[in-house]
Amino acid sequence: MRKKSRWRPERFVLWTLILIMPALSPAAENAGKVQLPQYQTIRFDNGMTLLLLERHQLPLVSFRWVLKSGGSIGDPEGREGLASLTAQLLRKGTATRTADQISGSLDFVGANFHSGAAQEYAWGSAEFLKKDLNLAVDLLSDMLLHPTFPPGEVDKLIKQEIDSIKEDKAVPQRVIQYYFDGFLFGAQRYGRPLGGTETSLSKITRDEIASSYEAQFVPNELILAVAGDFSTSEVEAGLREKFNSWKAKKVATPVVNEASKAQGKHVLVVDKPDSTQTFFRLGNVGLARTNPDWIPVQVVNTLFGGRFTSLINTALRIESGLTYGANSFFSSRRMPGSFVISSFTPNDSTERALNMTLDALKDLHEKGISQDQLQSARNYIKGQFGPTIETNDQLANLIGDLEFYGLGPQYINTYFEKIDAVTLADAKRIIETYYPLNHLDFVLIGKGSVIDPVARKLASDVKHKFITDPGF
Amino acid sequence: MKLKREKYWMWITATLLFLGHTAYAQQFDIKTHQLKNGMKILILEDHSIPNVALYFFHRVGSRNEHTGITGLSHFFEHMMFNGAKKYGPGMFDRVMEDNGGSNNAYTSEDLTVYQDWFPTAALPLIFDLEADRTGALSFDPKMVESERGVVANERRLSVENNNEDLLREQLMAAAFTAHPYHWPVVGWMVDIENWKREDLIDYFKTYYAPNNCEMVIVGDIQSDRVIRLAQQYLESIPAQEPPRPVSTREPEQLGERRVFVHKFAQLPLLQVAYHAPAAVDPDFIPLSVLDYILLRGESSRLYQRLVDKEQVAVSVGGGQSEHIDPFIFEIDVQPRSGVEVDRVEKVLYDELDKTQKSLVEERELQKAKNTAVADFYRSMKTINGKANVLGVYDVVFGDYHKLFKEVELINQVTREDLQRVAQKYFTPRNRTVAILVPEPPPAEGK
Repeated sequence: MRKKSRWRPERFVLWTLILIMPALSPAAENAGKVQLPQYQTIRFDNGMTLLLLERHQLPLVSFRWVLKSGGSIGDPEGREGLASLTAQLLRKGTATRTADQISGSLDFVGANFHSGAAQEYAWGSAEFLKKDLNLAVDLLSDMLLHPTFPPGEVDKLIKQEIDSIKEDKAVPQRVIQYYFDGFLFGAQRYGRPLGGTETSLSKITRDEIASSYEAQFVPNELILAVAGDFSTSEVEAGLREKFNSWKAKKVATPVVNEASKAQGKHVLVVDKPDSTQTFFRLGNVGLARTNPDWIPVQVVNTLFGGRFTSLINTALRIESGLTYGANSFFSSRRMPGSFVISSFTPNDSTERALNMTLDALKDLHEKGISQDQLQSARNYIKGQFGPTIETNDQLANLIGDLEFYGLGPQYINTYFEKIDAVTLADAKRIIETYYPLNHLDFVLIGKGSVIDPVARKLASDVKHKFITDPGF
Repeated sequence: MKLKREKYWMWITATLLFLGHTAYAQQFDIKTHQLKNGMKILILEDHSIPNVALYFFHRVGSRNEHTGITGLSHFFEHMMFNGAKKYGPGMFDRVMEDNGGSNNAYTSEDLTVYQDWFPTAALPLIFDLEADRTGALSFDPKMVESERGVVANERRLSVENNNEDLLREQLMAAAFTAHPYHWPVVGWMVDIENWKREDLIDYFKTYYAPNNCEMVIVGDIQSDRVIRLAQQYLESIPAQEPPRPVSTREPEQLGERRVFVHKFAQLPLLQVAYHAPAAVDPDFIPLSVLDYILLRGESSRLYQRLVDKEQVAVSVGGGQSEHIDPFIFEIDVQPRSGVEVDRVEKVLYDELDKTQKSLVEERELQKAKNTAVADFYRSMKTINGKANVLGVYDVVFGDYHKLFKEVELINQVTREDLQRVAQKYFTPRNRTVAILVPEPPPAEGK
């Protein structure tokens, strides 16, 4: 098993992870211009999309596949976690290989392989040494085309997943976003926990998984991005040989309707009576990844909650010491996902920290941002851009994402221009549109007896859960 | 300290067994320079992106602390961002971010490391910022108090509200009785609440002297220019008396130690630690290979046995990590629900016994060697990775050249070596066991 990360005191979370920024071409960043490295887009007759980006710095090759029909939003009600299990089980046995043989082959050459589901797609990532490219193509195609979902492996994974949820609930930060999305989106598709719940997982059968695979895994929904040290023609030929005979099939992709924004204030209190801190998230429905406002939103959010000196981290951490970190972000989805402000604070400063957060929002509306701040955010986004596209895996992910969202390489090639084009008037409009003051959903996890009185001051609508209650 | 394993296998000729006959040579043109005040500088030009990674490795961590000031090194890491002579409170971060840079820092048992990531154009400005805080840090009492709150919150986050880390703190406290690895890097809460401003001033003078620091810079830079800037900005900071060496050695453990933590949780936790050698010890390499065989990947022995076959665990992790003084080889297990910790322990020890009783398979040894090669390349993927690994090798292993010999050393490891180190270290009397015992939620109103 992978090594668990051990506690290592760091000054703060890495903010670049929160920005969810696209990336730019290495060595092509000059005079505020970026150019994505050239890559080839190839469509097989069966509709499968192949993206090939050659670069030869190190003898490594990264793979990233995105299956547009494989997201957890397709999980039937009561079977949440189905898509996630299906994707994770690909490596647990194929028509010609056992799970042990697959792990053995991957590990013997020092390769990495992970797969899973996000809300809107299933995904897989792998990294191999250049010399093992044939093995890579062989294994990846085998797992995607011929998984067998052995009953013993299915049973094992389901039990592990249920226990993992119990384990994660001991650490509020690992689960709070599930509670938040559930509370904000309710029964709508973005509200469903992608990994399932203690109860939904236990109902899922091996046959349901196999049927889900049959229905969702089709070439016409698959994007495969490869970046690194290889020859485009050879890799194309190798992949064509494996995937070309895979038959296209129409898939009914789930329709996600645009969620209406929460009206008024609502609070969910999740009681975890041993907690010495309150973990909180507040926000509302944000905007779609493809919305042209996405870029000005990133600029404004850099200033509000996207970096260390942001408005909310300055208020809650730098000036008051109430927390170790506060940030805000917009989830990247095809339809509007969540806008979230997130932090945590000792039990006895819960009310103060929440009021301070609301004051920071009010400040943003009342004072707006200055020309200097705007320039600072532009500098920051552009200055931090290089390291987000430094590696093969970053580039494979990026070109896969651009294809998934239908944005294309031009999106990156004009990215800096768009950042520079954001005006103070845009910022004002963004603040008014996407940073709600009075319409907010809150999720608070912590010691119920401490939080509850605070929650009642925030809103008249307060709901309760206990941390060990199944689900989120 | 926890640097990911990927970060510390490095060598310059990664060939040999792996590629068989052809030698692959990766050239790293590393330049070194020493300032007159004793600060050593490592420089690696890398123009793949228009950015720079600048790291400062201060030779100070929780191993340099004593009772009453535990956690001070880590607290100091925070104070370095709270204002100096030219750039007042908050200015370091603001000026850096205004100019497209970002930063972070980490503290371990052995080191405090400051990291700046910025576009090349900001290079002189970053030197100015770094020189200001290294040469003339201020200790504004108001900032000390505010930051005390931040650090207390960090401890609440990462220890009090994280059962794994709460348990690990007890594991270390039991495994080390004499050596300062006994206390957590973040410090005991009571010390966080009580250290004094004078403690900080003393600490700064001793441990933040340029002769106790090493600078590593990798990225889109010219070596000559870096040296000129370093001379201009950093050379005038005066050297100090070197700090007193840490002389305490952990006495040999003479019997198993067990600790229990009772806490609200749905599942128990198990952590097992064996005393293990320092990074410079010749046994460190074979134990690292054993680490791969036991813990790396789903084909590893402990994953196979505990998670996959007997299904007594949800996950297993841990391993060896490089330290200046002898540290631990750690195994962390998340037991499955309904499985007694006893049973997990029995299976775990049975599997470790096998490494003592018989030789590992040739293929397993080869697998570990192959993985080490791949991990070497992974550590070279970014300018950050390169800066970090160069510094760690120079400071913890004592010489960055050693990273270029690593492949040879790994390839010399035999199955007999693995059996020997397993027999030497994985013994019951060298073992500390920590168990989290789940209990029901505390009653309200307590």
